[in-house]
Amino acid sequence: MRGFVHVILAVLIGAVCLICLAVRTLWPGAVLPGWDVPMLAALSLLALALEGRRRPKGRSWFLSALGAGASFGLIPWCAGLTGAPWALFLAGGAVFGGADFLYASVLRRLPEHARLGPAAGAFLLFLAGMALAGPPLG
Amino acid sequence: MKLWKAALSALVLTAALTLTVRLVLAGPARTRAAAEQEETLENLLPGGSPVIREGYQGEDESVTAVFRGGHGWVVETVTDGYVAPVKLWVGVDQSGTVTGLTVRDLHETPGLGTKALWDTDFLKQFLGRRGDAAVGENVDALTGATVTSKAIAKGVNAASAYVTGADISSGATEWGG
Repeated sequence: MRGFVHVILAVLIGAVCLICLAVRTLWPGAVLPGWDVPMLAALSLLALALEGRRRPKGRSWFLSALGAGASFGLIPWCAGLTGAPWALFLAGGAVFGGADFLYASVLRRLPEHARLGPAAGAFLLFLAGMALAGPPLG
Repeated sequence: MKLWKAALSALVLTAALTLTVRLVLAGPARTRAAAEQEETLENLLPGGSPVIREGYQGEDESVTAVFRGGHGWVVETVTDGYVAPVKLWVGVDQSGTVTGLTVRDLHETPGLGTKALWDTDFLKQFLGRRGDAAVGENVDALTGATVTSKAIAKGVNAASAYVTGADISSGATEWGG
């Protein structure tokens, strides 16, 4: 199912943006999480985990990263949550590409009947991504 | 091919939806933000309203904005934290004593440095200080977030120094200069 993960990713990013817009309107003093590497990794891995075993074989890494980068660059920019869509486009594409590669390796090594394995693998990769925390990119 | 089209449609539709919601909420968001800013400034300087924004011409790079009230100032400071800069609003009375503070922006390690957003016991330690906040001496650091604690101490001391005119070497932090 090519492109399915990008549908999930777009919906997830959109949901986060809508929540941020609501919080910013209702509680303007609240400190919102920034669009940094752990945030990009969390959304990418959540989308990949929801895609799970429906992952198509032979997915193009480049096109996949490009699609994810477009989602990360465009949606938060339209929501007014970032002033640097290009930074998020590049970082989002790179983070999704890396997460996709690593998560695919994890999935290949898990037995078919492992139900919690894919989710646990995604969570462990997210924890690893926390080590790349830095200032917000956008 | 169909799902690539679906992915593109999802991207365009989601972007359009967020843009629409942003435009619809822009007015209420502006109004609420202005009200929240006014309320926060008044809370930082009790009885000190109205608070007016002043230009800052000083040399301290930590100080980014100054608001003058009837009984003191609210000083906005930005200091280097562990992950990203930490922005504070510090209320300081005319003697340079801290009357209140709030963290306006912070992106530190979740569960460690982010505790500075809500740990009132930590933040209360800065109240009543007069440019002498020093982590490890008269201020207990947040567990696992010494650099963030020092960044906040540096911001608070810079705010006091703005009012007293003291040239502090800021023994509160060696982090971030």
